[in-house]
Amino acid sequence: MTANAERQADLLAAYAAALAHDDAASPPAELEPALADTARRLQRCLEPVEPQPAFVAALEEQLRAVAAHARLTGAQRLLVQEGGWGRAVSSRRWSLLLLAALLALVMAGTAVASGSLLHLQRPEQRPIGRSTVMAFAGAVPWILCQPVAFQPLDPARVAPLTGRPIAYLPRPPASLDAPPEVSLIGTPGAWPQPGAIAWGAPCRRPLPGRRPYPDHRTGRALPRHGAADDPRRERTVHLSDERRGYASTYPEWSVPNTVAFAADRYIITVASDLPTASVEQLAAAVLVVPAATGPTADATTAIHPAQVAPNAGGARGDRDRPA
Amino acid sequence: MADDDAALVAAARANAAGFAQLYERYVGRIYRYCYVRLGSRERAEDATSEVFLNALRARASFRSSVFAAWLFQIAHNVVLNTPRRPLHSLDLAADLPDAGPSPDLLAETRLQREAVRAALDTLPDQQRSIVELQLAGWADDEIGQALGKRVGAVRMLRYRALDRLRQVLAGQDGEGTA
Repeated sequence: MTANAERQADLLAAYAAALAHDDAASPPAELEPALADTARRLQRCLEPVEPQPAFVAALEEQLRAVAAHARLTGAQRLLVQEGGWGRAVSSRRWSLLLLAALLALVMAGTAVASGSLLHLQRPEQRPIGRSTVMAFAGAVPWILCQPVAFQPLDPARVAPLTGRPIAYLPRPPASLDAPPEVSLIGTPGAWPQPGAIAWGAPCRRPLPGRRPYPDHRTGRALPRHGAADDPRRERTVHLSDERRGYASTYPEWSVPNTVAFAADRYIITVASDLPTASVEQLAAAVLVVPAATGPTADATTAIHPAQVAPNAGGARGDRDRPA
Repeated sequence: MADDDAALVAAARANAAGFAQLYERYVGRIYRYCYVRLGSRERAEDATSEVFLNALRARASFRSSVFAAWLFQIAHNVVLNTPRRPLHSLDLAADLPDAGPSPDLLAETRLQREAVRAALDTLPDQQRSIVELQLAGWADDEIGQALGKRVGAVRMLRYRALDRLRQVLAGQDGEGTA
Protein backbone atom coordinates (compact mmCIF):
# COMPACT_ATOMS: atom_id res chain seq x y z
CA MET A 1 0.00 0.00 0.00
CA THR A 2 1.65 3.23 -1.08
CA ALA A 3 1.30 6.57 0.57
CA ASN A 4 -0.22 7.90 -2.62
CA ALA A 5 -2.85 5.18 -2.63
CA GLU A 6 -3.76 6.00 0.94
CA ARG A 7 -3.97 9.65 0.05
CA GLN A 8 -6.14 8.94 -2.96
CA ALA A 9 -8.36 6.69 -0.84
CA ASP A 10 -8.91 9.50 1.66
CA LEU A 11 -9.60 12.02 -1.08
CA LEU A 12 -11.99 9.64 -2.72
CA ALA A 13 -13.83 9.13 0.57
CA ALA A 14 -14.21 12.86 0.97
CA TYR A 15 -15.41 13.30 -2.58
CA ALA A 16 -17.89 10.43 -2.35
CA ALA A 17 -19.32 11.93 0.82
CA ALA A 18 -19.63 15.31 -0.88
CA LEU A 19 -21.34 13.79 -3.91
CA ALA A 20 -23.91 12.15 -1.70
CA HIS A 21 -25.07 15.58 -0.63
CA ASP A 22 -24.45 17.52 -3.83
CA ASP A 23 -24.06 15.76 -7.14
CA ALA A 24 -22.42 18.87 -8.56
CA ALA A 25 -19.71 18.89 -5.91
CA SER A 26 -16.22 19.58 -7.19
CA PRO A 27 -13.60 16.89 -6.62
CA PRO A 28 -10.51 17.64 -4.58
CA ALA A 29 -7.77 19.00 -6.79
CA GLU A 30 -5.39 16.17 -5.91
CA LEU A 31 -7.85 13.38 -6.65
CA GLU A 32 -7.08 11.53 -9.85
CA PRO A 33 -9.55 12.81 -12.46
CA ALA A 34 -10.40 9.32 -13.67
CA LEU A 35 -11.35 8.24 -10.16
CA ALA A 36 -13.45 11.37 -9.72
CA ASP A 37 -15.21 10.67 -13.00
CA THR A 38 -15.94 7.11 -11.91
CA ALA A 39 -17.30 8.28 -8.57
CA ARG A 40 -19.54 10.81 -10.33
CA ARG A 41 -20.77 8.20 -12.77
CA LEU A 42 -21.61 5.78 -9.99
CA GLN A 43 -23.48 8.42 -8.08
CA ARG A 44 -25.39 9.53 -11.17
CA CYS A 45 -26.37 6.04 -12.30
CA LEU A 46 -27.06 4.39 -8.98
CA GLU A 47 -28.32 7.20 -6.82
CA PRO A 48 -30.70 5.63 -4.33
CA VAL A 49 -34.19 6.81 -3.62
CA GLU A 50 -35.75 7.13 -0.22
CA PRO A 51 -38.42 4.66 0.80
CA GLN A 52 -41.91 5.98 0.40
CA PRO A 53 -43.47 6.96 3.71
CA ALA A 54 -46.50 4.80 3.04
CA PHE A 55 -44.27 1.77 2.62
CA VAL A 56 -42.30 2.53 5.80
CA ALA A 57 -45.50 2.94 7.78
CA ALA A 58 -47.10 -0.16 6.34
CA LEU A 59 -44.07 -2.32 6.99
CA GLU A 60 -43.88 -1.05 10.55
CA GLU A 61 -47.49 -2.00 10.99
CA GLN A 62 -46.79 -5.43 9.60
CA LEU A 63 -43.86 -5.87 11.98
CA ARG A 64 -46.04 -4.90 14.91
CA ALA A 65 -48.61 -7.41 13.75
CA VAL A 66 -46.02 -10.15 13.46
CA ALA A 67 -44.66 -9.30 16.88
CA ALA A 68 -48.13 -9.40 18.38
CA HIS A 69 -48.89 -12.59 16.55
CA ALA A 70 -45.75 -14.24 17.87
CA ARG A 71 -46.95 -13.82 21.42
CA LEU A 72 -50.19 -15.69 20.85
CA THR A 73 -50.97 -19.36 21.02
CA GLY A 74 -52.01 -21.26 17.94
CA ALA A 75 -55.73 -20.99 18.67
CA GLN A 76 -55.42 -17.31 19.44
CA ARG A 77 -53.61 -16.70 16.18
CA LEU A 78 -56.42 -18.14 14.16
CA LEU A 79 -58.94 -16.01 15.95
CA VAL A 80 -56.93 -12.83 15.78
CA GLN A 81 -56.48 -13.29 12.06
CA GLU A 82 -60.20 -13.28 11.66
CA GLY A 83 -60.72 -10.15 13.69
CA GLY A 84 -57.68 -8.13 12.63
CA TRP A 85 -54.14 -8.38 13.87
CA GLY A 86 -54.35 -6.06 16.78
CA ARG A 87 -57.78 -6.83 18.09
CA ALA A 88 -58.04 -8.39 21.49
CA VAL A 89 -59.98 -11.57 21.67
CA SER A 90 -62.22 -12.30 24.56
CA SER A 91 -61.40 -15.64 26.06
CA ARG A 92 -65.07 -16.21 26.80
CA ARG A 93 -65.82 -16.26 23.09
CA TRP A 94 -62.99 -18.49 22.02
CA SER A 95 -65.09 -21.53 21.48
CA LEU A 96 -67.63 -19.72 19.34
CA LEU A 97 -65.00 -17.88 17.35
CA LEU A 98 -62.98 -21.01 16.85
CA LEU A 99 -66.02 -22.77 15.52
CA ALA A 100 -66.76 -19.85 13.19
CA ALA A 101 -63.18 -19.80 12.00
CA LEU A 102 -63.20 -23.50 11.25
CA LEU A 103 -66.46 -23.10 9.38
CA ALA A 104 -64.96 -20.25 7.37
CA LEU A 105 -61.95 -22.41 6.63
CA VAL A 106 -64.13 -25.13 5.21
CA MET A 107 -66.16 -22.64 3.19
CA ALA A 108 -63.07 -20.94 1.87
CA GLY A 109 -61.48 -24.19 0.87
CA THR A 110 -64.62 -25.21 -0.93
CA ALA A 111 -64.85 -21.88 -2.70
CA VAL A 112 -61.24 -21.99 -3.81
CA ALA A 113 -61.67 -25.48 -5.11
CA SER A 114 -64.68 -24.40 -7.13
CA GLY A 115 -63.14 -21.12 -8.25
CA SER A 116 -66.30 -19.32 -7.27
CA LEU A 117 -64.92 -17.02 -4.63
CA LEU A 118 -62.44 -14.24 -5.05
CA HIS A 119 -61.54 -12.60 -1.82
CA LEU A 120 -60.42 -9.05 -2.45
CA GLN A 121 -58.14 -7.70 0.17
CA ARG A 122 -57.74 -3.97 0.33
CA PRO A 123 -54.40 -3.13 -1.28
CA GLU A 124 -53.25 -0.86 1.50
CA GLN A 125 -53.24 -3.82 3.86
CA ARG A 126 -50.23 -5.28 2.12
CA PRO A 127 -47.10 -3.25 2.79
CA ILE A 128 -45.10 -4.72 -0.01
CA GLY A 129 -44.52 -4.02 -3.67
CA ARG A 130 -47.31 -2.81 -5.88
CA SER A 131 -47.32 -5.86 -8.02
CA THR A 132 -47.48 -7.95 -4.92
CA VAL A 133 -50.44 -5.96 -3.78
CA MET A 134 -52.21 -6.70 -6.99
CA ALA A 135 -51.30 -10.33 -6.83
CA PHE A 136 -52.35 -10.66 -3.27
CA ALA A 137 -55.63 -8.97 -3.99
CA GLY A 138 -56.61 -11.98 -5.98
CA ALA A 139 -55.05 -14.63 -3.86
CA VAL A 140 -56.96 -17.25 -2.02
CA PRO A 141 -59.08 -16.08 0.90
CA TRP A 142 -57.12 -14.65 3.74
CA ILE A 143 -57.67 -17.50 6.07
CA LEU A 144 -55.56 -19.74 3.87
CA CYS A 145 -53.06 -17.13 2.81
CA GLN A 146 -49.36 -17.39 3.22
CA PRO A 147 -47.44 -14.19 2.57
CA VAL A 148 -45.84 -15.42 -0.63
CA ALA A 149 -48.45 -17.95 -1.70
CA PHE A 150 -49.66 -16.08 -4.75
CA GLN A 151 -51.97 -17.47 -7.32
CA PRO A 152 -52.99 -16.23 -10.72
CA LEU A 153 -55.80 -13.78 -10.35
CA ASP A 154 -58.58 -12.14 -12.23
CA PRO A 155 -57.20 -8.77 -13.35
CA ALA A 156 -60.57 -7.46 -14.43
CA ARG A 157 -61.79 -7.78 -10.88
CA VAL A 158 -58.58 -6.60 -9.27
CA ALA A 159 -58.10 -3.43 -11.32
CA PRO A 160 -60.83 -1.43 -9.62
CA LEU A 161 -59.20 -2.03 -6.27
CA THR A 162 -55.75 -1.03 -7.41
CA GLY A 163 -56.84 2.14 -9.13
CA ARG A 164 -54.38 1.31 -11.89
CA PRO A 165 -54.89 0.09 -15.39
CA ILE A 166 -53.92 -3.50 -15.93
CA ALA A 167 -52.98 -5.29 -19.09
CA TYR A 168 -52.93 -9.03 -19.12
CA LEU A 169 -53.07 -12.12 -21.22
CA PRO A 170 -56.22 -14.07 -20.58
CA ARG A 171 -54.62 -17.27 -21.80
CA PRO A 172 -50.86 -17.32 -21.40
CA PRO A 173 -49.13 -19.97 -23.48
CA ALA A 174 -49.24 -23.32 -21.80
CA SER A 175 -45.58 -23.88 -22.61
CA LEU A 176 -44.49 -21.17 -20.22
CA ASP A 177 -43.99 -21.89 -16.57
CA ALA A 178 -45.14 -18.35 -15.90
CA PRO A 179 -46.97 -15.73 -17.92
CA PRO A 180 -44.98 -13.43 -20.15
CA GLU A 181 -44.62 -9.84 -19.19
CA VAL A 182 -47.33 -7.42 -20.10
CA SER A 183 -47.04 -3.83 -19.05
CA LEU A 184 -48.86 -0.60 -19.44
CA ILE A 185 -46.41 2.19 -19.64
CA GLY A 186 -47.95 5.51 -20.39
CA THR A 187 -49.99 7.73 -22.57
CA PRO A 188 -48.95 8.02 -26.19
CA GLY A 189 -48.87 11.50 -27.57
CA ALA A 190 -48.17 13.12 -24.25
CA TRP A 191 -45.24 11.21 -22.96
CA PRO A 192 -44.88 10.89 -20.11
CA GLN A 193 -47.86 11.93 -18.10
CA PRO A 194 -47.40 11.88 -14.34
CA GLY A 195 -50.08 9.72 -12.91
CA ALA A 196 -50.68 7.93 -16.15
CA ILE A 197 -48.01 5.39 -15.42
CA ALA A 198 -48.99 1.99 -14.18
CA TRP A 199 -47.61 -1.45 -13.85
CA GLY A 200 -49.75 -4.06 -15.40
CA ALA A 201 -48.44 -7.45 -14.52
CA PRO A 202 -51.01 -9.02 -12.29
CA CYS A 203 -49.57 -12.47 -12.48
CA ARG A 204 -46.84 -13.17 -10.04
CA ARG A 205 -46.41 -16.49 -8.41
CA PRO A 206 -43.69 -18.68 -7.02
CA LEU A 207 -42.36 -21.48 -9.11
CA PRO A 208 -41.98 -24.89 -7.55
CA GLY A 209 -38.69 -25.33 -5.82
CA ARG A 210 -37.48 -21.82 -6.56
CA ARG A 211 -37.34 -18.89 -4.27
CA PRO A 212 -37.79 -16.12 -4.00
CA TYR A 213 -40.73 -15.73 -6.27
CA PRO A 214 -40.00 -14.36 -9.71
CA ASP A 215 -41.98 -11.56 -11.13
CA HIS A 216 -42.79 -10.84 -14.68
CA ARG A 217 -42.85 -7.12 -14.94
CA THR A 218 -41.08 -5.04 -17.43
CA GLY A 219 -41.09 -1.45 -18.42
CA ARG A 220 -39.91 0.04 -21.62
CA ALA A 221 -39.66 3.41 -23.25
CA LEU A 222 -41.34 4.20 -26.52
CA PRO A 223 -39.36 3.26 -29.59
CA ARG A 224 -36.46 5.58 -29.94
CA HIS A 225 -35.97 7.64 -33.04
CA GLY A 226 -32.29 7.29 -32.45
CA ALA A 227 -32.56 3.53 -32.52
CA ALA A 228 -34.18 3.49 -35.92
CA ASP A 229 -30.84 2.95 -37.59
CA ASP A 230 -30.47 -0.33 -35.79
CA PRO A 231 -33.10 -2.66 -37.23
CA ARG A 232 -32.20 -5.29 -34.69
CA ARG A 233 -33.47 -3.06 -31.92
CA GLU A 234 -36.51 -1.32 -33.37
CA ARG A 235 -38.75 -2.22 -36.26
CA THR A 236 -42.37 -1.71 -37.03
CA VAL A 237 -44.60 -4.75 -37.18
CA HIS A 238 -48.30 -5.18 -37.73
CA LEU A 239 -50.23 -7.32 -35.37
CA SER A 240 -52.85 -9.75 -36.53
CA ASP A 241 -55.56 -7.16 -35.96
CA GLU A 242 -53.65 -4.67 -38.11
CA ARG A 243 -52.59 -2.48 -35.28
CA ARG A 244 -49.04 -1.26 -35.59
CA GLY A 245 -46.50 -2.27 -33.02
CA TYR A 246 -42.79 -1.86 -32.46
CA ALA A 247 -40.69 -4.96 -32.01
CA SER A 248 -37.26 -5.09 -30.45
CA THR A 249 -34.82 -7.92 -30.18
CA TYR A 250 -31.98 -7.85 -27.71
CA PRO A 251 -30.25 -11.20 -28.13
CA GLU A 252 -27.98 -10.61 -25.18
CA TRP A 253 -30.85 -10.27 -22.75
CA SER A 254 -32.62 -13.01 -20.89
CA VAL A 255 -35.98 -11.85 -22.22
CA PRO A 256 -34.91 -10.83 -25.68
CA ASN A 257 -38.09 -10.13 -27.61
CA THR A 258 -40.53 -7.32 -26.94
CA VAL A 259 -43.43 -5.87 -28.84
CA ALA A 260 -44.86 -2.50 -27.87
CA PHE A 261 -48.07 -1.05 -29.20
CA ALA A 262 -50.65 1.59 -28.41
CA ALA A 263 -54.12 0.68 -27.23
CA ASP A 264 -56.60 3.22 -26.03
CA ARG A 265 -54.57 5.64 -23.91
CA TYR A 266 -51.77 3.26 -23.14
CA ILE A 267 -48.50 1.96 -24.43
CA ILE A 268 -48.39 -1.76 -23.84
CA THR A 269 -45.31 -3.93 -23.98
CA VAL A 270 -45.21 -7.68 -24.17
CA ALA A 271 -41.86 -9.27 -23.44
CA SER A 272 -40.83 -12.87 -23.62
CA ASP A 273 -38.11 -15.28 -24.53
CA LEU A 274 -40.49 -16.78 -27.04
CA PRO A 275 -39.74 -16.09 -30.72
CA THR A 276 -40.72 -12.67 -31.97
CA ALA A 277 -43.59 -14.03 -34.05
CA SER A 278 -45.05 -15.64 -30.95
CA VAL A 279 -44.69 -12.43 -29.01
CA GLU A 280 -46.56 -10.59 -31.75
CA GLN A 281 -49.37 -13.12 -31.48
CA LEU A 282 -49.46 -12.64 -27.74
CA ALA A 283 -49.60 -8.88 -28.17
CA ALA A 284 -52.76 -9.19 -30.21
CA ALA A 285 -54.39 -11.10 -27.38
CA VAL A 286 -53.68 -8.60 -24.61
CA LEU A 287 -56.69 -7.33 -22.72
CA VAL A 288 -56.67 -3.97 -20.98
CA VAL A 289 -58.63 -3.06 -17.91
CA PRO A 290 -58.59 0.73 -17.62
CA ALA A 291 -57.92 2.46 -14.36
CA ALA A 292 -61.06 2.56 -12.28
CA THR A 293 -62.29 5.52 -10.36
CA GLY A 294 -62.86 3.67 -7.16
CA PRO A 295 -63.57 0.39 -5.49
CA THR A 296 -67.20 0.46 -6.53
CA ALA A 297 -66.47 0.73 -10.23
CA ASP A 298 -67.65 -1.97 -12.53
CA ALA A 299 -64.99 -4.63 -12.53
CA THR A 300 -65.97 -6.14 -15.82
CA THR A 301 -65.13 -3.30 -18.20
CA ALA A 302 -62.24 -4.97 -19.94
CA ILE A 303 -61.27 -3.46 -23.26
CA HIS A 304 -60.25 -5.76 -26.01
CA PRO A 305 -57.66 -4.41 -28.43
CA ALA A 306 -60.13 -4.83 -31.24
CA GLN A 307 -62.24 -2.11 -29.67
CA VAL A 308 -59.59 0.53 -30.11
CA ALA A 309 -58.80 2.28 -33.34
CA PRO A 310 -56.02 0.60 -35.27
CA ASN A 311 -53.08 2.62 -36.46
CA ALA A 312 -52.05 2.98 -40.05
CA GLY A 313 -51.30 -0.25 -41.86
CA GLY A 314 -48.26 -1.70 -43.61
CA ALA A 315 -46.63 -5.02 -44.26
CA ARG A 316 -46.04 -7.28 -41.31
CA GLY A 317 -42.47 -7.30 -40.20
CA ASP A 318 -41.41 -4.38 -42.33
CA ARG A 319 -38.91 -1.86 -41.16
CA ASP A 320 -40.86 1.35 -41.12
CA ARG A 321 -39.40 3.93 -38.87
CA PRO A 322 -41.52 4.87 -35.88
CA ALA A 323 -43.41 8.05 -36.60
CA MET B 1 -24.06 4.11 16.63
CA ALA B 2 -23.16 0.76 18.16
CA ASP B 3 -23.45 2.07 21.71
CA ASP B 4 -26.86 3.54 20.99
CA ASP B 5 -27.93 0.30 19.39
CA ALA B 6 -27.01 -1.76 22.42
CA ALA B 7 -29.84 -0.34 24.49
CA LEU B 8 -32.30 -0.67 21.64
CA VAL B 9 -31.24 -4.23 20.95
CA ALA B 10 -31.66 -5.12 24.61
CA ALA B 11 -35.14 -3.65 24.51
CA ALA B 12 -35.96 -5.49 21.32
CA ARG B 13 -34.83 -8.81 22.75
CA ALA B 14 -36.90 -8.30 25.84
CA ASN B 15 -39.97 -7.15 24.02
CA ALA B 16 -40.76 -7.31 20.32
CA ALA B 17 -42.31 -3.87 20.53
CA GLY B 18 -38.84 -2.55 21.27
CA PHE B 19 -37.85 -3.54 17.76
CA ALA B 20 -39.74 -0.54 16.42
CA GLN B 21 -36.96 1.88 17.30
CA LEU B 22 -34.35 -0.24 15.58
CA TYR B 23 -36.62 -0.41 12.58
CA GLU B 24 -36.99 3.36 12.46
CA ARG B 25 -33.25 3.79 12.73
CA TYR B 26 -32.31 1.37 9.99
CA VAL B 27 -35.19 1.14 7.54
CA GLY B 28 -33.91 3.96 5.36
CA ARG B 29 -30.39 2.62 5.18
CA ILE B 30 -31.49 -0.93 4.47
CA TYR B 31 -34.00 0.19 1.86
CA ARG B 32 -31.44 2.32 0.05
CA TYR B 33 -28.94 -0.50 0.07
CA CYS B 34 -31.53 -2.88 -1.37
CA TYR B 35 -32.49 -0.29 -3.97
CA VAL B 36 -28.91 0.28 -5.07
CA ARG B 37 -28.38 -3.45 -5.27
CA LEU B 38 -31.65 -4.43 -6.93
CA GLY B 39 -32.46 -1.35 -8.94
CA SER B 40 -36.19 -1.05 -8.48
CA ARG B 41 -38.55 0.23 -5.86
CA GLU B 42 -40.68 -2.87 -5.90
CA ARG B 43 -37.78 -5.20 -5.31
CA ALA B 44 -36.27 -2.93 -2.73
CA GLU B 45 -39.56 -2.87 -0.86
CA ASP B 46 -39.90 -6.63 -1.04
CA ALA B 47 -36.33 -7.14 0.11
CA THR B 48 -36.60 -4.60 2.91
CA SER B 49 -39.74 -6.28 4.15
CA GLU B 50 -37.99 -9.62 4.17
CA VAL B 51 -34.94 -8.23 5.95
CA PHE B 52 -36.88 -6.77 8.83
CA LEU B 53 -39.28 -9.66 9.15
CA ASN B 54 -36.31 -12.01 9.31
CA ALA B 55 -34.57 -9.77 11.80
CA LEU B 56 -37.64 -9.54 13.99
CA ARG B 57 -38.08 -13.28 14.06
CA ALA B 58 -34.39 -13.93 14.71
CA ARG B 59 -33.76 -11.11 17.14
CA ALA B 60 -33.40 -13.51 20.05
CA SER B 61 -30.44 -15.11 18.31
CA PHE B 62 -28.60 -11.83 17.92
CA ARG B 63 -25.28 -12.28 19.67
CA SER B 64 -22.99 -9.97 17.77
CA SER B 65 -21.84 -6.79 19.36
CA VAL B 66 -22.83 -4.72 16.35
CA PHE B 67 -26.44 -4.74 15.33
CA ALA B 68 -25.70 -2.97 12.03
CA ALA B 69 -23.37 -5.78 11.00
CA TRP B 70 -25.94 -8.40 11.84
CA LEU B 71 -28.70 -6.56 9.99
CA PHE B 72 -26.49 -5.92 6.99
CA GLN B 73 -25.66 -9.62 6.80
CA ILE B 74 -29.36 -10.41 6.68
CA ALA B 75 -29.87 -7.79 3.99
CA HIS B 76 -26.91 -9.08 2.04
CA ASN B 77 -28.27 -12.60 2.09
CA VAL B 78 -31.69 -11.38 1.02
CA VAL B 79 -30.42 -9.41 -1.96
CA LEU B 80 -28.13 -12.25 -2.99
CA ASN B 81 -31.16 -14.51 -3.10
CA THR B 82 -33.20 -12.02 -5.09
CA PRO B 83 -32.88 -12.58 -8.82
CA ARG B 84 -31.88 -9.59 -10.84
CA ARG B 85 -34.63 -8.12 -12.94
CA PRO B 86 -34.26 -8.45 -16.70
CA LEU B 87 -31.80 -5.96 -17.99
CA HIS B 88 -34.37 -4.18 -20.07
CA SER B 89 -36.68 -3.49 -17.16
CA LEU B 90 -37.24 0.06 -16.09
CA ASP B 91 -38.22 1.27 -12.72
CA LEU B 92 -40.74 3.74 -13.96
CA ALA B 93 -41.29 5.31 -10.60
CA ALA B 94 -37.65 6.30 -10.53
CA ASP B 95 -37.15 6.91 -14.21
CA LEU B 96 -40.08 9.15 -14.88
CA PRO B 97 -39.89 12.29 -12.82
CA ASP B 98 -42.55 14.89 -13.25
CA ALA B 99 -40.43 16.92 -15.62
CA GLY B 100 -40.80 14.16 -18.18
CA PRO B 101 -37.56 13.20 -19.88
CA SER B 102 -37.75 12.10 -23.45
CA PRO B 103 -37.79 8.43 -24.36
CA ASP B 104 -34.33 8.90 -25.82
CA LEU B 105 -33.01 10.18 -22.55
CA LEU B 106 -34.73 7.41 -20.63
CA ALA B 107 -33.20 4.79 -22.86
CA GLU B 108 -29.75 6.34 -22.61
CA THR B 109 -30.01 6.55 -18.85
CA ARG B 110 -31.06 2.95 -18.73
CA LEU B 111 -28.12 1.82 -20.82
CA GLN B 112 -25.66 3.73 -18.66
CA ARG B 113 -27.17 2.25 -15.53
CA GLU B 114 -26.91 -1.24 -16.94
CA ALA B 115 -23.28 -0.66 -17.85
CA VAL B 116 -22.46 0.42 -14.31
CA ARG B 117 -24.30 -2.52 -12.83
CA ALA B 118 -22.43 -4.89 -15.11
CA ALA B 119 -19.18 -3.32 -13.98
CA LEU B 120 -20.16 -3.76 -10.34
CA ASP B 121 -20.67 -7.44 -11.02
CA THR B 122 -16.96 -7.75 -11.68
CA LEU B 123 -15.94 -6.58 -8.22
CA PRO B 124 -15.07 -8.86 -5.32
CA ASP B 125 -18.01 -9.13 -2.97
CA GLN B 126 -16.58 -7.00 -0.20
CA GLN B 127 -15.51 -4.19 -2.51
CA ARG B 128 -18.90 -4.21 -4.12
CA SER B 129 -20.65 -4.04 -0.76
CA ILE B 130 -18.56 -1.05 0.22
CA VAL B 131 -19.45 0.80 -2.96
CA GLU B 132 -23.13 -0.03 -2.65
CA LEU B 133 -23.35 0.83 1.02
CA GLN B 134 -21.64 4.14 0.37
CA LEU B 135 -24.09 4.91 -2.44
CA ALA B 136 -26.87 3.98 -0.05
CA GLY B 137 -25.73 6.74 2.27
CA TRP B 138 -23.86 4.73 4.87
CA ALA B 139 -20.93 6.57 6.44
CA ASP B 140 -17.51 4.96 6.37
CA ASP B 141 -17.61 4.12 10.06
CA GLU B 142 -21.01 2.49 9.61
CA ILE B 143 -19.72 0.49 6.67
CA GLY B 144 -16.76 -0.52 8.78
CA GLN B 145 -19.04 -1.73 11.53
CA ALA B 146 -21.22 -3.62 9.09
CA LEU B 147 -18.29 -5.35 7.47
CA GLY B 148 -16.01 -5.65 10.46
CA LYS B 149 -13.37 -3.37 8.96
CA ARG B 150 -11.51 -0.34 10.10
CA VAL B 151 -12.35 2.92 8.40
CA GLY B 152 -8.95 3.04 6.72
CA ALA B 153 -9.49 -0.42 5.28
CA VAL B 154 -12.91 0.57 4.01
CA ARG B 155 -11.42 3.51 2.18
CA MET B 156 -8.63 1.48 0.64
CA LEU B 157 -11.06 -1.16 -0.54
CA ARG B 158 -13.26 1.53 -2.07
CA TYR B 159 -10.23 3.04 -3.78
CA ARG B 160 -9.38 -0.33 -5.29
CA ALA B 161 -13.00 -0.88 -6.24
CA LEU B 162 -13.27 2.41 -8.08
CA ASP B 163 -9.96 1.88 -9.77
CA ARG B 164 -11.23 -1.46 -10.99
CA LEU B 165 -14.56 0.04 -12.06
CA ARG B 166 -12.72 2.77 -13.93
CA GLN B 167 -10.89 0.16 -15.97
CA VAL B 168 -13.98 -1.92 -16.65
CA LEU B 169 -16.10 1.06 -17.65
CA ALA B 170 -13.34 2.36 -19.88
CA GLY B 171 -13.27 -1.02 -21.58
CA GLN B 172 -17.04 -0.95 -22.05
CA ASP B 173 -16.93 2.55 -23.46
CA GLY B 174 -14.22 1.49 -25.86
CA GLU B 175 -16.31 -1.43 -27.08
CA GLY B 176 -19.31 0.82 -27.49
CA THR B 177 -17.49 3.23 -29.74
CA ALA B 178 -15.54 0.65 -31.68
